Amino acid sequence: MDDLFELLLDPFVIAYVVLTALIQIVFFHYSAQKKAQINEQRKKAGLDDQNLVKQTQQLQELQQEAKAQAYILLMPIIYLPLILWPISLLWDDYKPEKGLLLTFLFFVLYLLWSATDVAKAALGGIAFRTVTAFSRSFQVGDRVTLKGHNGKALEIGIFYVKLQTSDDEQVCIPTVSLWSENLVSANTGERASLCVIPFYFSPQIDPQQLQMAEDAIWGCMQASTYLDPGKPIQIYLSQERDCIKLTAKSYVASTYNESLYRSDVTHAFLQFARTESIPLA
Amino acid sequence: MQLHYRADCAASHDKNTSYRKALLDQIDYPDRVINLDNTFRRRPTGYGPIQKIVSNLADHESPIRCQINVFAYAFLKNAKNYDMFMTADPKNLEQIGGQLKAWQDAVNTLTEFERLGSPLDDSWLKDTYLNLRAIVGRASARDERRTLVVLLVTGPATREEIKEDLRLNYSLSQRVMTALVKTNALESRTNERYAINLKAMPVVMFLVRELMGLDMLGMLGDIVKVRKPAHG
Repeated sequence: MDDLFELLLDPFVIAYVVLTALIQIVFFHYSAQKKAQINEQRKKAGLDDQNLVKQTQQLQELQQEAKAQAYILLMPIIYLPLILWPISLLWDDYKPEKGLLLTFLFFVLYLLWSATDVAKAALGGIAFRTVTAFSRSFQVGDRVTLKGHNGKALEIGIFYVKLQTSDDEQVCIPTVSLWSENLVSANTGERASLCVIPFYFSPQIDPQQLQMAEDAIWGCMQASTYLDPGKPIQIYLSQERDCIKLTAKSYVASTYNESLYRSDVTHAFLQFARTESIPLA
Repeated sequence: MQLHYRADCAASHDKNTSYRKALLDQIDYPDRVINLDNTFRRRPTGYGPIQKIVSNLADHESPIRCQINVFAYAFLKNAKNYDMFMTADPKNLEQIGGQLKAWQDAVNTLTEFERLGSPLDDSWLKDTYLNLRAIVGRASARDERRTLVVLLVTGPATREEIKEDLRLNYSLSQRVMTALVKTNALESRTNERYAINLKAMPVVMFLVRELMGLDMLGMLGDIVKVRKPAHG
């Protein structure tokens, strides 16, 4: 045990541990500083806290950040011993090889079998962010369903993924817990997303009225300022037990406006239906 | 639009005259360029005139030249497949391509300005952007955002036309339209029509893209890309 203690009390081993921890701290502060600088710059330019740009650009930054975090964590642990050992050769009194190797093994074991939940969460979170950033399963700004919660992804952090629901609630889901979950994204980085709007008609509706209704729904969707005209529109009819169902599928240009789009189309069609006396279910 | 009304009138008053004949009688092709700009509104019943004109001219033996707002054409191409029978003049496409590049550069600059606060050299563009952003950037500015979309896609419009297109049960007040005009992004024209200031087009396209998701630049890019002549 004393031998072990002696091995670890070597200045080069201490330098290894301290430098590894210092590099993590410096990087953390650098990242926080960078974000603060951007906010300061935006304020000076006359912009408020709300950032209108939400899509696509942030994915590249997330990828760079995730890569940098992984490197900053692993590279000191792997490379510092390789740097410190040749330096130690300049001193005859020090032979830190065994100490450095032992400390390295300790770090690796610590990484593999993390002693605390915080370390587990942090490692799991870093791994999840890295995999998510490169597999493009979802990104900041997407409308997602995670663990039964539906909302806009505000942040994919190391410890929490933050969602903002349509009721303006903020849901914080532990990142590490998402490894075994299904990740559902409505728009996967795109601005537009599919919107399905059902309409129900009385079984007594005659064929001409049904055709008029179908044409009117098509026109209402195309007339809406929320529609993405570059994506296809489809309308399907089906017979239900007590009504005729018409399902309209189209793409809303901005996924965050889906509710407004549904309301716009429904409002326009109901006005038409009232004017033309189309029997609804 | 007058072309359509006259043809419609003539066809309804004279049983021996069809709409198509009445329309063609007014066109002095190949010199005449038909202006389609005010022939459609983006509302469920708003496509009547343009549909009627185009469907009666599409199968004519010699091409008939028409003029239409490029944004309206981009919308009709995507929504109604109008590019199948209305092909753009290659010379016009080249001009559009050049303008598109300038707009794209301006929109990229605005994106970096919004995202990171990067400096914007064009002080007029910056002021216009900040002024318009202050109005339409609010979550409650739903009608103001939709107004921008209407003006961008279908071109200049009166307050009444905007009100009909957006199915508002009140007229956009003079105060609101004046506020939008004061940002320099919109301008007031003759016959009480409002239009987007051409110089502020990148600002409007950027805000419509980020707030409404409508990427008009992308749609215009598709037109220039698809119809580019083979030799370059």
